[in-house]
Amino acid sequence: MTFAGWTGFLELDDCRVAPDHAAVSGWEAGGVGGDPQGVAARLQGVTKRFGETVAVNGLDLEVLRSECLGLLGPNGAGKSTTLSMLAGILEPDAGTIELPGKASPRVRSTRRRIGIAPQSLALYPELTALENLDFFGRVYGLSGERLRARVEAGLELARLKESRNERVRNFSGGMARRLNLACAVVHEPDLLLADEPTVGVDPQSRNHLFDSIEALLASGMTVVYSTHYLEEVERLCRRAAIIDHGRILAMDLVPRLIEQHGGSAHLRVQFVEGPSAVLDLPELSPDLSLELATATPLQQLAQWSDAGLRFRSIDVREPNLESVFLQLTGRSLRD
Amino acid sequence: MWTAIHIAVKDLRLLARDRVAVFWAFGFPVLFALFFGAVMRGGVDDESSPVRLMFVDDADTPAAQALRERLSATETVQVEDAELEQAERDVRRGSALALLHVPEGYGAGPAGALSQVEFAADPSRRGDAELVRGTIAPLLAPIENAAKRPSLLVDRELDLETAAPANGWMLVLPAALLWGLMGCAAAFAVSMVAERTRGTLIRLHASPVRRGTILAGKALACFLACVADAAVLLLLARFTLDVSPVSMAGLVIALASVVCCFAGITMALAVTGKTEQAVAGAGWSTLIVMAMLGGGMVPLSAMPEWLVSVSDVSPVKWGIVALERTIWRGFTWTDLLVPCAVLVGVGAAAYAVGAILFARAPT
Repeated sequence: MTFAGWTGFLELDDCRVAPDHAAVSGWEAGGVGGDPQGVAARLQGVTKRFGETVAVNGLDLEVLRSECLGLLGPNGAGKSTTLSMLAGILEPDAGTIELPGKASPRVRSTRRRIGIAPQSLALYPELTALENLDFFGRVYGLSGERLRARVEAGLELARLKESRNERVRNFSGGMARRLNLACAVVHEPDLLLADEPTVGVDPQSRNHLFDSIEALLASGMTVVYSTHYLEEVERLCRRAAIIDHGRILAMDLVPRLIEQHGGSAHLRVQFVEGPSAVLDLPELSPDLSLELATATPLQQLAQWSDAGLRFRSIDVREPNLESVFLQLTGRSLRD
Repeated sequence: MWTAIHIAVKDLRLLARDRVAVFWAFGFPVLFALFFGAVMRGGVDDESSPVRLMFVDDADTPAAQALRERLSATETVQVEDAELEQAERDVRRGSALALLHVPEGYGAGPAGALSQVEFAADPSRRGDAELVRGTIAPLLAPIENAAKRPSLLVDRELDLETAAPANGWMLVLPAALLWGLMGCAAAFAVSMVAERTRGTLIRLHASPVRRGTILAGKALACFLACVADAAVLLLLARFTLDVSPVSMAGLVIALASVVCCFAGITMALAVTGKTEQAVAGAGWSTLIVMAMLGGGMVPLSAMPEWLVSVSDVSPVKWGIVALERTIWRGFTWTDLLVPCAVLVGVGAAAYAVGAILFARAPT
């Protein structure tokens, strides 16, 4: 897949190539042109309160350049507040947020380097797709030929070239979501903050959005992707931060998170007939099914098969981010 | 600067795309203006409460004194002594209904001889004027000379820079314009809350645009829409109601001042509420109270004296004063300076309050 208008195309599989956390350097370099393996944003001890409610509580986070960092947590975990502070919309009550060059997102000139796709659709329904992109481009200081080129690139990113002159109020939820994302990057920011960008869209539009984000990652953009859908993090993000009650519970490469916090695989089988007494099996349920946690489910199945047991059904659940969250918090992501 | 213009263009485009909003911003104010204009026009003509009559006594004779006493005894008028120049100025500005000029030599002739007096009235209040004329005439001559009374009360030409209004619509056009502009401005009061509820304010806050620029863009949109509204009303008045203002330049200045005032007030209101209903309610309530106090609903002449004093705080009053002077009453630039300065000052102060509140508002 190629995408005109965004510089630096890579194959999609390469999109997730980001440096290891340990390899971070060049923080002082500043700007995109510094160390390509630098830090795109750093939050240290960030706290935000709304009255008595502590939305974000001493949060530490580093976003690496050109990576997609997943912020995974349930509703009310503090994801949107964190993104709002990263975007410079909210000011932290404590702690610091820095972009390359020690720049604060509260400084207006720094905001040109950040784009945000808010959770709620932030569009003008009575304007067309083209007019929305044009307006937000102008707000970020684009004009003339560059503005026209960026608007075209935005329409292409959102796959709305055919609908450019249609009013947004007539768009489907998926089309509006794609435009919401395109408006966030019309000014070509270094850092994209995507706050649950797939809320309320159909599977096809969701895939379009994934393709768009992957294209942006391929162009070298850094993405912080907030969601409570673990499969989105697994598809898009190399690293993920598990956030709950305003704190980062764990942050690492996704496979390492699963390995460290995901627990064992979950095996559920239903036998055709009861096993002989020689096999050391836990007690079966009345329908001859068995459920157990094991680090080696396939070996266990092979052992039973070798012993002559036949299976009516087999269900193996490998640990994933859901089980990571469950292990870390004791509850499900969608509770 | 350019960003404010982009925001204004966007807001006007949004307004133009929404037929309902266009009706409320343009159609409804025109209808509202015409309706209230017609209502007020009738109200002015039928007015019969006590009114100020400036008594200019250049005769200083017992007959003149007697006439003054007889006038004071009536309940129709409130007689005040004045020099001719002052009396003419008050009537011309509309602060007094009429003047009665008793010329030198009045009552100095042989006993029983009849003398003439001069009468001039505010042309915008013809109903009142006729009532007062009818009150004065019987006092000028004894009953046996009743048939000659009308000829004793001669009209005095006021030293106005313009003639009296050509038709009744000229009298009501100032109030009509004010209602139109208030309606249009009120339509923009919700624009800031709409940005918030739409979610687009987050995007604007995340951009490099200053909050002041956002507010300035919205104020500019409101200003331009009000100007367009005024233009529609003036064209309507010119070509369908045969209204031609005495000074187009003066009217443009007066209208610009009025629009500045309402745009500023609207921006202050726009940042005060969190929901469209709250802001719309606060907007209309504020504007209606200002209109009631300022003579936009009930003529100032029909208000009790204390309320007339209070009306000075309402920009609507100053708007009516400025517009009346430029549409038909006539003015000197000094006459226009005070109301326009008040209007621009109120608008600027309200805008400043709005800007401070918006700057401090949570995101």
